[in-house]
Amino acid sequence: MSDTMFDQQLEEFDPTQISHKKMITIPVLIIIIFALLTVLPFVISDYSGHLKLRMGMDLQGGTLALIAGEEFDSTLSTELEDHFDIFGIEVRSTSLGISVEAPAEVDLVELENFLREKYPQSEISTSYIGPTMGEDLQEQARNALIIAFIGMTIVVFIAFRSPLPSFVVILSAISDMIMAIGFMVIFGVALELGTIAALLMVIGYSVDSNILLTTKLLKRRGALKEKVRGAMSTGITMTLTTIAAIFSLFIISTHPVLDSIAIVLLFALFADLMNTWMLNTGILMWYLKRRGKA
Amino acid sequence: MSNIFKDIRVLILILAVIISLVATKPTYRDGQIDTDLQFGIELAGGSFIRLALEGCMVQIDVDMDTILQEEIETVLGRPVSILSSTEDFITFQGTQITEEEQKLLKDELGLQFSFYETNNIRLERSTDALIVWFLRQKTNSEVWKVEYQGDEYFEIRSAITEDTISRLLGENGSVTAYLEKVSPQTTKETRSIIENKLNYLGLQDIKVRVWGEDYIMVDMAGKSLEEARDIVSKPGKFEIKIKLGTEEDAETVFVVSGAEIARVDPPNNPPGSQWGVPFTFTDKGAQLFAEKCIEYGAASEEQEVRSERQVAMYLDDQEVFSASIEAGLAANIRDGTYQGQQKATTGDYERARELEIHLRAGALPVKPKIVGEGETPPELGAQFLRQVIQAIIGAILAVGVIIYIRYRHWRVVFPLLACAFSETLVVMGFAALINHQLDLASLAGVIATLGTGVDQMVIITDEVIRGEVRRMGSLLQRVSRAFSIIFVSAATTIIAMTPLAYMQLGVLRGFAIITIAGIFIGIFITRPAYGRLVTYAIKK
Repeated sequence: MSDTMFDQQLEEFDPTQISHKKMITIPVLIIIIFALLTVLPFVISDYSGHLKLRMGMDLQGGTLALIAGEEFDSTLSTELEDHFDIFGIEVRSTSLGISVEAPAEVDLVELENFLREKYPQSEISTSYIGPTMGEDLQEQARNALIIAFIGMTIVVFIAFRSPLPSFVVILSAISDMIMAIGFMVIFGVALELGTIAALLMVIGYSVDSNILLTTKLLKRRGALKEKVRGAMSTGITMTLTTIAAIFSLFIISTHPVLDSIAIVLLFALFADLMNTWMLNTGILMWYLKRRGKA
Repeated sequence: MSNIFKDIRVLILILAVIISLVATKPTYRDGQIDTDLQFGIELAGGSFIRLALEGCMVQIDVDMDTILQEEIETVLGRPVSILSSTEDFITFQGTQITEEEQKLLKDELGLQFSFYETNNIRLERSTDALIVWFLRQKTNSEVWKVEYQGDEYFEIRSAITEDTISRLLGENGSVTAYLEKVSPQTTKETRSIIENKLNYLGLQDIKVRVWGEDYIMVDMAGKSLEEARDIVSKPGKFEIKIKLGTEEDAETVFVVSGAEIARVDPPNNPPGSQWGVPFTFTDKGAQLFAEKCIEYGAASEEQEVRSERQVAMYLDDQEVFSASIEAGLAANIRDGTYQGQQKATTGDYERARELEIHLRAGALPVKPKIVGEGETPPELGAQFLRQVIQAIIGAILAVGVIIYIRYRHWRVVFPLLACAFSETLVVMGFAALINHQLDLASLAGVIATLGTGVDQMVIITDEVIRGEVRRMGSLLQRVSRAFSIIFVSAATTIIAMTPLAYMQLGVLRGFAIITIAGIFIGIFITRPAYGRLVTYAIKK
């Protein structure tokens, strides 16, 4: 059973020989770049470019229509803006067809009737969220996230009775999220309830791989090299199976919400590979070597 | 092989799968699989409406004595002074108050003043009742005293801002607390009125839920948004008629419509009388009612005639109440002292509650505002659902491929996939058992659970195999070592999801509930069974 491909390759690979300085600094730099990418557009007051995290319609209020099976038409947006006499109607191409996002002032039934007349053959799905409810949702989601992180820190601290593992697990969950959000900025994926759910799923996956890593490195006996390699082969398999599962969702589904959930998760899982197996492994190895010397 | 099926952990998993199959009742018909699972509107097709209720709850600190003094002075046009003020009574000293002015004070201010001594204006009061009176009068809307989270508030049932209330109070008081929402009782009441109305329209399968504390959510499968809006916002057709006879299909004479009902009070049963709903006609309604009652004998002197000329109420042509007029009221109608006030006596509280809703003709106690709505055509919903199911199956297969590449052994792949599949099934079964509506977010939760479930099974597999190589402890010890990792990560994820499950707005709630349930099902049912199955498979 042990002569698998992975183990053979691992035989020649010794993570303890890699400088942990490199293992720590490279991810940290990348995370900082992603964090700046997310935060800067909000700090620069007159920034109007495209590299800004987009708020989805359910978090800021608005009217949304999805038209199945239609081709993207660049004139539709102007046509709608003229008809409803309003600015800021955006038309996007999705795997389902096209999506129309309009400000909350546009009446849902009127928009639906207009589109139905224009595309009589297509199935149209619509939804509307009032601005106050959007604000409510934003606030509640933010609070839930903060409480979630505090709770996680406490649980991990109780389990390991030492601050470092808690720090490592939380650091990884936060870095995964920052990088996933950075990817969302780059690829224009909106922050909406669906993608918030995805970011929360990231917590679950990130916790899985990092607790595995910390337990194996701090609680088990044996040579460091063996422990790291063991954790890596298990952990990377875990992340790869998850990537495979989410990739299947991404390919099969045409629902815009499920599509964005899948894409955000894929971003985050790749980020997690780096954060767990470079950054956190680096930190823990550095800690163990120092403790060994002391 | 028979040995493995005698293991308690494996038996529990098999039992859980059977229970889930019973709970979801999958049946196959015409190329489609039907289940008892409830899906959200975005998957089932139809429309939804989310309503927020206009109104607020306030706590105010107010000097009612001065306010009342000012109000009296405004009506009289000359100063009055406060003679005495106790908990139960307040007395003002005025000058030369005429009888007309006494009546004017009562009518204008709507308070039951008494005038024991000349120029004394006396009012039996409680501070709270006076505040309710003040707020009702000034905001021109219903005001009630309610309890919310252990504190007492005044609920104003209309959209009114904190500034407006401060302005109304002027220098005599201030708003000490302001919540821009109605009380949970009011939300529940509104919900039950909407539901009642839908029942009367024969739309029992439509779900009306209170969402969070402040929102009402109406899910209408198979209805377009335009229809849904109509149903929610249009009041029913309410009519009062006189029945000419006691038989079921007796002829009826139309008296007044619901438009002539000016006011409906909550059911009461004062000492010596039965439960009933007091209501008042408009002046025009009272006149019409009196005329028709006299004309058709419903207000006759004789009890027998009255009992054959019953007054009946109809909501959307369905009889909801019928009774003969009581002797006292009949006498008032005949001698012209009838003012339009009466009580529909039902006998018990439940029926009185129901009748109150009918009398309001489905009109809601507070104005609802649409804060969210949407529509998904059934075909599109079915397409999304099909894709989700395919994606879950695809995900399980994709995991199988990776596991095979990693371990190169079907003995690991089979138990792992079987457990992953059963886990998904049991999570669905759980959703069916607790009547949880599976919306998109919940299904995302199913996939999340699948992901963490497979993660944990990989941890178990690696512990077992590695232990095998190094002869570290017994198989079961290795499995339990894997569990020490699994428990910590499961606990952490559960803690991370709990605040979401408590989030008032339900969108991410489904996700959190399913994820938490999935993790519990994982650690208590599927993982132990997998540990057993995989050790058995590897030993072979």
